[in-house]
Amino acid sequence: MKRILLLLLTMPLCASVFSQIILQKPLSQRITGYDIDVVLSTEKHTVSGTVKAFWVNPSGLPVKEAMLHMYLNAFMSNKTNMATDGNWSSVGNDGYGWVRITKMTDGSGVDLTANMHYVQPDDTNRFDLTVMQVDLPEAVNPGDTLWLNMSFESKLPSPIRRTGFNKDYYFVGQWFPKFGVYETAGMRQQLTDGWNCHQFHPNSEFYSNHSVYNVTVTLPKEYITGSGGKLISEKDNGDSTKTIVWRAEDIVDFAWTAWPGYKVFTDKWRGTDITFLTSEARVEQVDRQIQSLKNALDYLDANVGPFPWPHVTFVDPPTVGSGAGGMEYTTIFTSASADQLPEEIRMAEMVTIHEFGHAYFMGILASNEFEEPWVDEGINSFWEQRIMDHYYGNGYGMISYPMIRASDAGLGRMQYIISGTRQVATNDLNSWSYPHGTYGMMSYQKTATWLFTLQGLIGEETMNNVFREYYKKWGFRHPSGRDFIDVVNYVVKRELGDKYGPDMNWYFDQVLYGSGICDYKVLDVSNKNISGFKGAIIEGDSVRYEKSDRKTDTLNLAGVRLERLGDITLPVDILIHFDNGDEVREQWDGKARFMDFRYTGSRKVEWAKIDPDNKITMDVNRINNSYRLERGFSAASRMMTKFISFIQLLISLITF
Amino acid sequence: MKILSVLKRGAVKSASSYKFLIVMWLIMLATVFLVAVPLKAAFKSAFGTSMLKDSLLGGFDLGVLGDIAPVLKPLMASMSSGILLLLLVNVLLYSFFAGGLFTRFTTEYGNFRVHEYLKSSARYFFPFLGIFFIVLGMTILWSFLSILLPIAIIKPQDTGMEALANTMKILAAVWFLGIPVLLLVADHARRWMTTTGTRRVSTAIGAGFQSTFRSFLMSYFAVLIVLIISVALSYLTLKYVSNSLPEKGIYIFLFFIAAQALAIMKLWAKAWRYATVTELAFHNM
Repeated sequence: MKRILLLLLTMPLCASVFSQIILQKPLSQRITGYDIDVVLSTEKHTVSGTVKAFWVNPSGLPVKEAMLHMYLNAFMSNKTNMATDGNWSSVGNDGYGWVRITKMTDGSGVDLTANMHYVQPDDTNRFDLTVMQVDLPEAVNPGDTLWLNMSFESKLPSPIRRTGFNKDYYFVGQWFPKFGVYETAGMRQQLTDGWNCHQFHPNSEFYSNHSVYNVTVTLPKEYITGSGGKLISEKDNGDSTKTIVWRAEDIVDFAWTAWPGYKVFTDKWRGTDITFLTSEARVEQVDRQIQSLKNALDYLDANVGPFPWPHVTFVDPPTVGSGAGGMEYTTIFTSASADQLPEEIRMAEMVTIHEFGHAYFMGILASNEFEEPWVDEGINSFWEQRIMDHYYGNGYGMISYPMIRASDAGLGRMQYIISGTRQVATNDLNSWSYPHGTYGMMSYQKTATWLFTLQGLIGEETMNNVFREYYKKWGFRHPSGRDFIDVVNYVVKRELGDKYGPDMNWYFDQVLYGSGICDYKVLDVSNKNISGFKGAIIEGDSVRYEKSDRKTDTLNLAGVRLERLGDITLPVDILIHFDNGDEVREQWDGKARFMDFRYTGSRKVEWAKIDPDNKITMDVNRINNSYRLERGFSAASRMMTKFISFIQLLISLITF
Repeated sequence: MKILSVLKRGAVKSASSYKFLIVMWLIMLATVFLVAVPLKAAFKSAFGTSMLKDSLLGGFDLGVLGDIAPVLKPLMASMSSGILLLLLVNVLLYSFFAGGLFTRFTTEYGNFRVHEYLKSSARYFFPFLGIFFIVLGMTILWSFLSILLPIAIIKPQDTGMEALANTMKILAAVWFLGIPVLLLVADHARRWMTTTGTRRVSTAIGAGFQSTFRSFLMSYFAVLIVLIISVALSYLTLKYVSNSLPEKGIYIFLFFIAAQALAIMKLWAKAWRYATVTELAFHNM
């Protein structure tokens, strides 16, 4: 309580520094804030100036040091983690990127420059200078505010890897000294208080406090710009430069872009202003791009929670800036497309929806991407796939040619099931700990696949309620994966009772904390005629035994045998179809290795199908999920006919 | 008007050779079946008793690829070499049958029986194959000069993808406009060979060039028109075959018939070009 009071007292003080307010009331605790004033040099490719930053100690203990992300240093040599693990290499000497603080003082003007030193909390790579520790002469007491006034210079890297420059194109991300997150005991199941400030890894870069940003940038006036902030003012300086002021509230990172070739389009979704920056070559994609963003806004607003900011900017980087594509900075994000991309291939829509989705899963629900990438990328991929297939067609949301089609969820699942390394690790590792290049498949696609399976088990509406509750409880805070699971357990119990046991931990133990696979098979379907009736006939109180003299009578013994090939056990449905049109739906808890279903009577079983509604997306082999006694091969005949025609066409083209 | 008249006569002459075209089509189709039938069998075997194949009737679902990949992988490896072999065999067959067709078009109307057709096909097989490879080499050289070289000179990494796409469109148009010249050389060379009975490839190519440029514009536009119609037929075939999704036996059979009708029309379009070139030479145009 004391801590909250201190925070409340501090907030007006911090807010007074930033005069203009976008939102009626703060969405987060705003324990950090940045007032940045810089100049972009398009000759030296640098951004230099000052940053005045504050951090409020949220803990009950005095803190003697501050930790800062210095992420542009990931590009300063060929020995950083980005260079060695991420295969980034500079274009000549001009391509290296770095950030350096030339002077640092605290709020009282005490010079802290000599107190700065780099640390490597994740490994022993002394060439990786992406985290800075500042030893404070005086500890910051609980609830007190630490002010840091810094002069800094950032040299942007080339080629662009999310951030950087190429010719006259700039995408400026992870570009200023930024506080790590000070976690208190209990937060994200931490046992003790301490800074959580990881090095910049090739596959993860987000874990920050929701902050307030006032950013002033001076740059050549022919540059067209966009940012994660709301445009406050733009002034022509009369010397071929202009100065732009942006403000952003309650976002976890601030990025901006500048390029003379941008074409700017604006639109509106409810109370939110949409700004879209693209290139001349892709102007014909503007409608589909903006519509895809509106689809994502509608869907996430309805099924997760409201989008709280009155502005969002997104960018389709041109070919020259393609390295900046597919990134998320909450109120600014980048899509990725190609010139003349056919409408049947919805890559641009997919990337737009995915990167916007991060405004929720990382932006609002600010999980730790370094330590639990599945909570960020995996959950976001699940929603991206749901949105794509909802708006663009279930079964063909991603590609919709008559001959070839693909759903976004189907393609995601495919990446998981075809991976030869799908069992080498569990799904709960740090982003840099996944072995054998499994990070992407595990964090994005395996997670999305098991979330779809979870949705198949508990139902879509309960799944939506899980996320509504997750948003309500953890919005503008820092949830962990365990916190998400607790929400699942709470909502499933509330809505489905004990249908799946006292909690759903058994599920997460297998799919998240385990490395097994799920594979169910229809082993056999059979019909056996038993002619000549024999047996006991019960008539009232008496039992008489029938001899086998009624040769014409036949009894069919139909059988369906199932097998569990994988380690994961899930309850599954089985649909059994008989020759008289009857269909029986059975349920199996999926635990035993084998399961038999038997039916006696005159009807014969024609086919059996495990998981007829395709709920168990985790099943790695759907070929063996069904069994039909009569083989129909229309698909094979059609495929052969098409093959013949294409070959004939090819022959016709190469002969003359 | 002269062009239309030549095209018309060429069309009639090629249509009257329908028996030979059908023989060509049947034999070439049979070779394709040699690869297609095992493919179908392998497809059946891969899916076995599974009902998953039903999901392919609505178009090939790439999502299913993950499930069938383990069984398709070895199949595809053998298929790719099978297809290459098939293309090579059909190049040989085409060179063979072209000999018969050119003989037919350079011979006076009258009884030209199938055995005569096959006999003249055999007579000109090797020289025609030689002409095929020489003109193929010229086509590759033309592709290099008209597309690859300009792209290498303009350096796409400097101009960006947008400019490259626009340049590619222009280069592709230039490339296409050059193709009738190469076809005219090949056709005139083959026509000259069957008219004179000579089988010397280099002399025939020289004669092909000479005839091509004798009344160039007339020949060029006549062949260009046939080529455009032929490309339109290819496009129609591609769209039809790609977009059709027949689901039941009879509809699949009808789909096969329609696709083969288009294949025969494509063959006829080629014969039309041969007959048109023959007519041009016959009337010294």
